[in-house]
Amino acid sequence: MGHRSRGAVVTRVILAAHSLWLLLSRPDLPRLADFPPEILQTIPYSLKVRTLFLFGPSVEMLLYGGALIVMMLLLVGRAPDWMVLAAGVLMMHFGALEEILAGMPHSYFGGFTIPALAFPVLYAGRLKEKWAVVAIRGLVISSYFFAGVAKLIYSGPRWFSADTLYGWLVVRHSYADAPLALWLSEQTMLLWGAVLVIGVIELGSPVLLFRPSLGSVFVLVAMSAHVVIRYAMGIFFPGVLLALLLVDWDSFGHRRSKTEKGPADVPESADQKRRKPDGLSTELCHGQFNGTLSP
Amino acid sequence: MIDLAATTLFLLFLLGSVGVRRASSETRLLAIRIFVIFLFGALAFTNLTQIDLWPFTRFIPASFRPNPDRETSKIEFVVVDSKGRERPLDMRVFSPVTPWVMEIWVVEKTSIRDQDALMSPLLALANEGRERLARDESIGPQRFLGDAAIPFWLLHGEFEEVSSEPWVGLRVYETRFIPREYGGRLEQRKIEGRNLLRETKRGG
Repeated sequence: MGHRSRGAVVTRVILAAHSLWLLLSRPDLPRLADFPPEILQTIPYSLKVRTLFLFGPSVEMLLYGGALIVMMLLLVGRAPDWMVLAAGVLMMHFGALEEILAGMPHSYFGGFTIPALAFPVLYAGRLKEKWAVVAIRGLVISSYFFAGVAKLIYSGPRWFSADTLYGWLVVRHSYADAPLALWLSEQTMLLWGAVLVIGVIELGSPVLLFRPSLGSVFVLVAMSAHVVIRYAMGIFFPGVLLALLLVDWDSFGHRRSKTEKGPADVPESADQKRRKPDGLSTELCHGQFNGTLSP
Repeated sequence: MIDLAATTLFLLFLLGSVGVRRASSETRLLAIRIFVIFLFGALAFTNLTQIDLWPFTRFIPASFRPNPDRETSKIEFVVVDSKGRERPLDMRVFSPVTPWVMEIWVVEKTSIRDQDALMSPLLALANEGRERLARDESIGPQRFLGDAAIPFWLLHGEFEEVSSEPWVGLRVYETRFIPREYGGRLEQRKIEGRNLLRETKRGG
């Protein structure tokens, strides 16, 4: 059905590259199954079933090796489509292993969440349809947006004050490698600026669904913020590469096509127009979608 | 109950994915709409109720307002050599379990009696990691990729100094402190006093 959108290809490559990088950075994941039984028996059986942590070390090692192969094949575009669905299940499984001992309190931070959900979406979109690219972009946006919502839920609007960041910097300095923490904690104006940026990035992120062209600016600001957070709070976001999914790669391709006077400029024939059964479904599936998830 | 709900949700999500892919051209648009509403509805539910249904997870970085004047605590693992000397443990020896998770687990997730019994297996894991480091092998996230690896999200210290002699004990300390007062001088606080929470039995 239809041609492959540039955005779909780039989305697959970014997801596979991130997942491969993350898996190679977690070489001990299969080893958890080899932990002493006294430790493993503290994990509830229902949680083991939920995360498919049911196998011995040999099977886990096979699964891990399989996951690496799947990601490499996905990266170069040689994976059969069913492997894309399998990739989501594997990322769900391995992502859980980092936190399963403590009952998954902060599973989002591991960097596995978005691939675990995005690969099945990509599969549903046959690895080429624009609606799936937009939905995956929505997943990344939701990770920023709901982070802002959580701040409102737990702390209310008062979270967005320099005082809050001051508290975080002082506390985090006591726990982690955060060389900028104490210096930054004394720069009140910078803290207010940072709070403003956090508020705009997180609570304003849904704007990208309607204005995908702002994605590049958003990514630059968000990645800069992640770098500052690393040195100021000692927190590294393993999923930082996934912010690249917010760049509007289809428009980038479209602009290039126009410059090169390529196929994108060829007017549609009357016959082609007649054959479209439903304008929306054509937009959803063929890459002319404007970025919103509603008609 | 949470585990059942999370399992069901993810299974439905996977089935939905297959269903959308196989839907006929007449029903495809409806299938896509239902699938997308399901996906974001589930995420909205978990984030508005703050019930984690991994992989439909909560996005909660730094959601609280910390009070730097309120006493807090830091958990620290140390190993003991045959001469009774303590040194901080490189927590990558417990990889893939992150340091933060290990701290929760050893303090909160098991009964006090179990925790004492569990210290010996932890010491064995620590010595396994020590042996690898002594052989000049990398451990933890850096094992395959070295410095190019993605670190654990909560950054902890890594210690290059390695003993070739097995460690004979493992202790878990809790240091209580007021962040504003000791923020930059936590080492001094450790010297002043810390509580021993767990340790391996003699000979364990």
